[in-house]
Amino acid sequence: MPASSPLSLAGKAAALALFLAAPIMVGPLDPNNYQGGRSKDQGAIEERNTSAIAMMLGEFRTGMADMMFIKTERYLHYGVAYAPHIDLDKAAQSGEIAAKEHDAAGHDHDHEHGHDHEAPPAPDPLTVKPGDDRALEFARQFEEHQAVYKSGGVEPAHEGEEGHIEAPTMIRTAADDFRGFIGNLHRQVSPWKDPREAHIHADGTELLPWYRIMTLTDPHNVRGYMIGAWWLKSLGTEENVAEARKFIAEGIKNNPRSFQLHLMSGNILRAIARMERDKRRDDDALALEREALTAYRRAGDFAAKTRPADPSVEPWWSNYMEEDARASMRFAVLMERDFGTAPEAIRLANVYLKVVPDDVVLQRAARGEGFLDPAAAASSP
Amino acid sequence: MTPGPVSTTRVLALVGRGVLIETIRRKEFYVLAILVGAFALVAIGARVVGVEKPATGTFLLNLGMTIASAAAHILTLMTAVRQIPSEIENRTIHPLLAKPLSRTEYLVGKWLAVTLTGIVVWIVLLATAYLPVPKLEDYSQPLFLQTILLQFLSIGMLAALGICLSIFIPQAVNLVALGLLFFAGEKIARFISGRFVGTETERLAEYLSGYVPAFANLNTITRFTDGMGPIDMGSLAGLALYAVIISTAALTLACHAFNRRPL
Repeated sequence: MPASSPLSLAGKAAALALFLAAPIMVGPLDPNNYQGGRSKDQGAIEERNTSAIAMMLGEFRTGMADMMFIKTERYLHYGVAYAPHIDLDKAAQSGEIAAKEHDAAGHDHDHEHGHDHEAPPAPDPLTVKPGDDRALEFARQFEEHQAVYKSGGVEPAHEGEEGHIEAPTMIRTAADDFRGFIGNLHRQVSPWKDPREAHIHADGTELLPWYRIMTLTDPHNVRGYMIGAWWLKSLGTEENVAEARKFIAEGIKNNPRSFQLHLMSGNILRAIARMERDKRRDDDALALEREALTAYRRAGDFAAKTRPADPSVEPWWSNYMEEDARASMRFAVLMERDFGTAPEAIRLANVYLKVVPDDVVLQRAARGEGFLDPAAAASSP
Repeated sequence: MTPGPVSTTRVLALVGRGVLIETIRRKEFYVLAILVGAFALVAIGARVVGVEKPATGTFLLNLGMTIASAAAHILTLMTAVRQIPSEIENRTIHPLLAKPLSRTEYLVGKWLAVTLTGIVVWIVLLATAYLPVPKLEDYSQPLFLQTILLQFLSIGMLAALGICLSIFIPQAVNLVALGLLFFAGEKIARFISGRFVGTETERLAEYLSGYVPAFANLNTITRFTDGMGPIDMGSLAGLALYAVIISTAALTLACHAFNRRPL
């Protein structure tokens, strides 16, 4: 006969009630949801990955999300692994972290997004409307990549530069490889292409499953959500753009203070609004534009709070973040101008100018220039 | 002459002593200690050779603390899931319960012993992994203490869940299920609730996914090595309360079921 339990019914009921209420506590109590940090600093990641200790520990040197990002880079070139822009020989010999020397055209291997293109020039910011992905550097580079893919996939050699090595491969060429037949074997069994030959581009949409897994393993991987949503949106169909909206909503749920995700959300909502307008559903389009305005306002506000006072001394604040932050603030003001009220747009521009006083778009808006009639703005693309 | 009543403290000490001795005698502790020891050798080697890059030192520190935490939790899990089933199987539970000891006291004693064992192992492994690594960047000492506290609570929560589930499901299934929950529970919960984003059942799915024990929220090792500041006291108290609630609920259910279980 079991001994009687000292637990009273009231005690058990209290324990059950507290357990049933536990999910309310766990959501807001996430100490690992923060911006910045050394593990997300690209400079620190590269410094770590080229250290001898990190190399000894092999794959431990990269986080799971880093490994997936490397995978996406490989997928863009049919599995051929191109080296990052760090001069690995110099790092191995002296430990110095230095960029590879570029040629006069400024060719660069974009380590953060896995590209080896000449960086497309940023458009004149005064001509960029809210929702225009040309404001985002990664979007310009991926569009360039897809343009090459759609025209056959072979990136043409630049004039006068045949045989020039734009980006070396991780597996060395025979001339540079001391391993002899083992090196030859490695080049045979692994995806490899002579770096002097033109790059072959794969369809970037094949990266989508990797972005899904990337964000599953690390729900705070903002880049994964942002770029994955962009790829979905780039497919252009209603179904895929709706998926993009759902994906970015999940990203915002996991990272509510990330301005990049609110920015991408605004871009997606504008894209859906355009589709509705094409179907002559103007009321639905206007509702979506107002939702986009809310998204851009959040993006702008969070960007203003997140941007450091002096970005040049904060290594974790990259050029991409600077560009995204400026786009967030500009789009917030321009959308407020077009779908909100003019006085509020001017006020907002003045608030953001305290953060980025040299921004030409915000300066123009603060002077009240370029303000259209809101009704006319609603019908413009 | 009948013996006087035995104090609860003595009872718990009696049960706990057995758990601690058994854990130290088993192979798992030494296997995990060897793993962490191997890392410590690498860290000492790095110190001797010289770690110039602060990012490398931070990476080593994060790796060491993570390995120590994982090892301590694995040991706690393995110890917790076998306590009740092995004693029932070996029939060593009968003489124990013949003493003036209620089943609830027995169960709570087991939990306390497993938790304390896990904490001792965690401290030993943390010291092994933490001390040899060169600290080339600034880290928040208050956050370090908070990290240790939250890890203690995490070990207690895992022990409670292990003991609770051991009454209902077989040992191997318990080990795998809780192991998955510990290492990937957050991701599983987010994957499930993420499928419902934008639907009418979004809020319900999010609420239900909150029942997956949030071990990741009790692990602030990366926050510490990232150089972030300490958690505010309100959030720390909330996290501690959360761990206590889950542990209490698990132990209450375990006691309720164990008191009704024929041996």
